[in-house]
Amino acid sequence: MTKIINYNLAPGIEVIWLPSNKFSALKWKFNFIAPQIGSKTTARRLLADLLQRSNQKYSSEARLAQRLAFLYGTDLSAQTTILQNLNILSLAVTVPQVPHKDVNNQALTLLWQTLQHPNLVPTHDQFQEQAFQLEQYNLANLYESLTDNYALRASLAMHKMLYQNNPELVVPDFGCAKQLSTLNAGRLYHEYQQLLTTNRVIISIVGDPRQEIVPQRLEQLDFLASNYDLLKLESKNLVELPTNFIKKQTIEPLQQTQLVVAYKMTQNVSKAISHVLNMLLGGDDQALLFQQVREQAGLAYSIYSEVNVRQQFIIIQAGITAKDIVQVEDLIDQQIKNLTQKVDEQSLAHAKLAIINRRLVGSDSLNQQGERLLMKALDPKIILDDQYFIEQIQAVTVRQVKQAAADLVKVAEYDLIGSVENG
Amino acid sequence: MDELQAIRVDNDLNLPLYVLERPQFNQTYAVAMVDFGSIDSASGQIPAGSAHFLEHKLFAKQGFDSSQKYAQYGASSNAFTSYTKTAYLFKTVGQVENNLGVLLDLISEPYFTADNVQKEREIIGQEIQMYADMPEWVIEQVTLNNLYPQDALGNDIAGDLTSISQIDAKVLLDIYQTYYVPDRFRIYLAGSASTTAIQQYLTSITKQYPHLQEFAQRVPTNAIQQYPVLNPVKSMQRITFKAQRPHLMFGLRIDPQQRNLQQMIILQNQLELLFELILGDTATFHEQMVGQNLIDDSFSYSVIVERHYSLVLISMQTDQPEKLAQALHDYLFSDRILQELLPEKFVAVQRDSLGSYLFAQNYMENLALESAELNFYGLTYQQMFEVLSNINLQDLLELATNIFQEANLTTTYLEPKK
Repeated sequence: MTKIINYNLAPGIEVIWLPSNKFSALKWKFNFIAPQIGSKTTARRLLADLLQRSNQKYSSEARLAQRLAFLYGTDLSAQTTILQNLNILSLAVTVPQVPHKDVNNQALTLLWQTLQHPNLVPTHDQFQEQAFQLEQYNLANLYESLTDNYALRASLAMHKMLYQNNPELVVPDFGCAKQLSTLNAGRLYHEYQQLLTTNRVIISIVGDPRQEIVPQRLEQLDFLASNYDLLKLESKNLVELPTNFIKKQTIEPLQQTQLVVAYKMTQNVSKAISHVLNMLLGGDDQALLFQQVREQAGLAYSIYSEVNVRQQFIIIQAGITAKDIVQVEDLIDQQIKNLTQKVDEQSLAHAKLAIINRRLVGSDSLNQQGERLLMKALDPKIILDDQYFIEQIQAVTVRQVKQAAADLVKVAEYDLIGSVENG
Repeated sequence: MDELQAIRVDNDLNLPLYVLERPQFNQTYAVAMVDFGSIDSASGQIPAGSAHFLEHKLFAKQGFDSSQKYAQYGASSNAFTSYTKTAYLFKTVGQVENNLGVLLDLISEPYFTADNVQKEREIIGQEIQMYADMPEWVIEQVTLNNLYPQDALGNDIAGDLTSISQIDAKVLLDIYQTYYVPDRFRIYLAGSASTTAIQQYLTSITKQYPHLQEFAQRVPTNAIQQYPVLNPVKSMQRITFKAQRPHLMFGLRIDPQQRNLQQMIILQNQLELLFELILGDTATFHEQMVGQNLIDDSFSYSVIVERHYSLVLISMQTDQPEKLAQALHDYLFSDRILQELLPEKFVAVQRDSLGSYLFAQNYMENLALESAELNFYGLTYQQMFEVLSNINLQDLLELATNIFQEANLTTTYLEPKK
């Protein structure tokens, strides 16, 4: 593996860099890290949207878009993510490596301009009103449109049920309409100032194998003051999951029904075991849920499970016909029971191979390499080496998987029931 | 750009098989793409959705499913059907040759029974239901139907619950035997695959999969439909559907001229540059509509070119569909679009397109799929840089003055039924 280079520029300002020539692109990402506070979630998302759309020099979407297109489709994008106790606002450029052209420096200049000189009014105490309103309008419309995505809605409803005792984490990272309506251009500017003056900053870089640009650019970070709180990523389980089984249903005139079921791991289970358990249950097309519910019973086109290794729960989601709900619920319960009794070595070997190969495929992704660098900076104990990951997965035993399955307890179910009858 | 050169692998089976060696990546992505899609199966006596049904059911083999074999060798598999193509895919880390064997076995030996077809019908029924709740899918189907009345392109790729009830094992076997012949396939691998190792593997593959010999000898018997049926476009339709906001879609049909298949790809790239200039983020019209809150981030367009079909779909959600439809119509059918075709803007969008090809090199899936598709049009991935670079502003001016014809436009309004 290529050697990772670290710089600690000042308290709370770090750089983690993978000088790689694997990709025909350079990715440079500023990650601004703040405590996750439920009431500020939407403000940070709206700020991210504002930053990526225009800046002082390119003061409209059209002007900035033309500049990016001129730089061979350089991508400038911002996002927010909630990671345990942290809210991470990221602003990144991804620059194609054009033969015989130096686009990198111009693209990085654009990134610096966007961060240092956003689209403010001349008095520099709020964002341009028109730019603010445009983003607020877009985000409000997005929230409305997401309502038509029934799989997502069902998933969010389950999120709300599971996180109901955790007000800081219950809002999704893209925010909510209620908070959005209270924001204004001045408040957003305040958030921007907070970003530069109180957030921990981790800059992740993938690319620049000639190692020419990174050292030069690191000289130009004096706009980030070094008086940050050094926030740490909590490794412990933060969510107080429901102790008694809860179930909610909504009925709407839809063709398809969304069924979402959550199981809590009642004992502490390692990440490796959690991943293997999930893969066997519903992680791919060889998993029990896919084979039994879809292939054998023909009851679903899509059925899968996902594991949250930090909060220690597994969610199963399926798109089915309303009349089959009880049958699918029973089949799901049966597959959990099967995992407590009948895991064979062949299935286990497949699950491990599938997880390992996904990890190795992930190593082929520019974005995932960048995310791994960020995780390494947040938690230096993490070992990024693929080989170490492989060893952890290979060490999982049948007995461990059966025990982890036996410790699963169903804690919540949400049904978005489609009431339209089909022939 | 040499690393993007696809190497043709000589083999006794005469399979059109190519490798793009990218040894710095862990994965290998492979696709077997056949020149047979939903519009081919929806014509004549074959029920709509048959190509898609065949795609699902071809994984079934006697006593096993191809996905299980892939899994044994650590690969994940998938498949999809488009209007004119069906593709079978796998992604693997290592075991490339064994997985290629599974892929060739998958496409060369069908196993359809009344029972396994019935089971698949239920699964596809669930898939159709899933799409049937999506307003963006519904408005697109209506638009395509109105753009190509009585043409198979107006049918959903998966068919509907009625059409799939007419598909049985015999239908699947008939279309398989008619259309799945080696000459209609393109097989591409991109990633850590070794041409030498694959070549060597193919020399002995028939020992493991003897039916490949028979498959290799099959020749096409039926021609496929190259050109669309050009009945008059239905200019407008209003529908109501469960949705939060009003949706609006414009469909513009571009009638085939005297173009060969290679020229269709050039046309596709010209259209993409033209529409980016006149409707993309940098366009004055786009900026004006955003300023009036008539459009938002849901505004998008897509250029579709398949064989000699070419069309553009413009979709959006808006609170003022009538006003926006009028504004968009007036704009597209006026000289204002020509005012957007400025040299500096053209250079920017052309560079943007070149950059997208550079980015795509990081994705083995993209390299394999794009290369396979382009091969049907007589082009390679490498040649796309030249194709894009050779497009000039004059080409776009000529295109813009020709393609906007009232008779080829359809507008669909989807009003929310909450």
